[in-house]
Amino acid sequence: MGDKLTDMELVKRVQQGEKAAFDLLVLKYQHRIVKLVSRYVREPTDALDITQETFLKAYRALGNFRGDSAFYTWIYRIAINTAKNYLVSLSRRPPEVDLDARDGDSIDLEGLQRSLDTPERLLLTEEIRETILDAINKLPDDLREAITLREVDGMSYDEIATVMDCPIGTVRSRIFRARDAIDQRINPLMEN
Amino acid sequence: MNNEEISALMDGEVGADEFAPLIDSVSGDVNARRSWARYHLIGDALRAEESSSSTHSAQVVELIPERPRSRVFSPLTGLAIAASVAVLAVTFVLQSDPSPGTTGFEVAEQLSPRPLAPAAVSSLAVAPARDVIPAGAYDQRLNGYLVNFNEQRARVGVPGVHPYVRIIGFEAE
Repeated sequence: MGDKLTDMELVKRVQQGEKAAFDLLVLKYQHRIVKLVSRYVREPTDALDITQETFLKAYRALGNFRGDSAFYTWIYRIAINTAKNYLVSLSRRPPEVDLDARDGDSIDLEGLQRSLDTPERLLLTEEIRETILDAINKLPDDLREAITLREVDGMSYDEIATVMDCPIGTVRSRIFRARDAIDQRINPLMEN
Repeated sequence: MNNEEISALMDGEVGADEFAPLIDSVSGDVNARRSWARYHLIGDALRAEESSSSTHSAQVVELIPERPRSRVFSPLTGLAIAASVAVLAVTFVLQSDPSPGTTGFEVAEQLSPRPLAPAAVSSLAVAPARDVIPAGAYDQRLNGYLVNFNEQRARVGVPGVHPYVRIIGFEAE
């Protein structure tokens, strides 16, 4: 299950009215959604608008989310449909409507915009991407292997412990140290 | 809370009773939320690089030039090769045809990967089948049967089993 457990816990909290939990979901998935949407639309600003709309739709519909599928699978479909609708609307573009004014909903657009990273960060500028990859390449072998098994291969800590022949506590420590080392490199870029 | 706990939380690798307090901590702490976001960004970059590498390998495969097609190897060449294989197969079958007097069981024994028990072979290796029924006898009897069948069928109006078969019969050699 892994991170899906965390997602379900966050979803449950959002359903109970805790908006801060939704912020964590946005922070977690925003880059993936932007990347996904960018396959459909070329303009970066359009991709960001669609991403924002995707999260708004997800927030409104989250009350009906029963957890039959993973949260990402669910929001993935919303993003795809939103992007496709956008493409259809290009041919018969409706008059510009302020999304916030149209739906006097429980989540405010400004709040979502605060949750979303800046457009530059969302688009994962080349500099940040290269810095991350460079930092990973410079990691000690055991840290690089641990974080790769986790992030790329999606293994649980238990599985990684088996593969690397070490205790789970060591796996947890290695993955954190890898993230922390990379974070030290990108943090200044993100702050700027 | 420390960042190692954030790291474990985002991987869902915390105890069941730790989820709630950790999520509370991350939600309520600006720095923790930023770490949460950056840690996920790192994962996204890693996965993007991985998928990009896959794309590169696919592109490399596409870039590999096809072997120049020789005009000698036209589609007809394939046909010729197939025909040659067929000829070889027929030749092999003819060569492996049992000599007169060889019983079916003996042939089976030659071809079988696991040899039969000697006792079983000896009890089954009876007189050759061709010694029981003379060669050509089958053809003559079958020919007579089919001719009679067709004559009777026409007389009583019974449709043939295979009405589209116009010629039934064997020439006895």
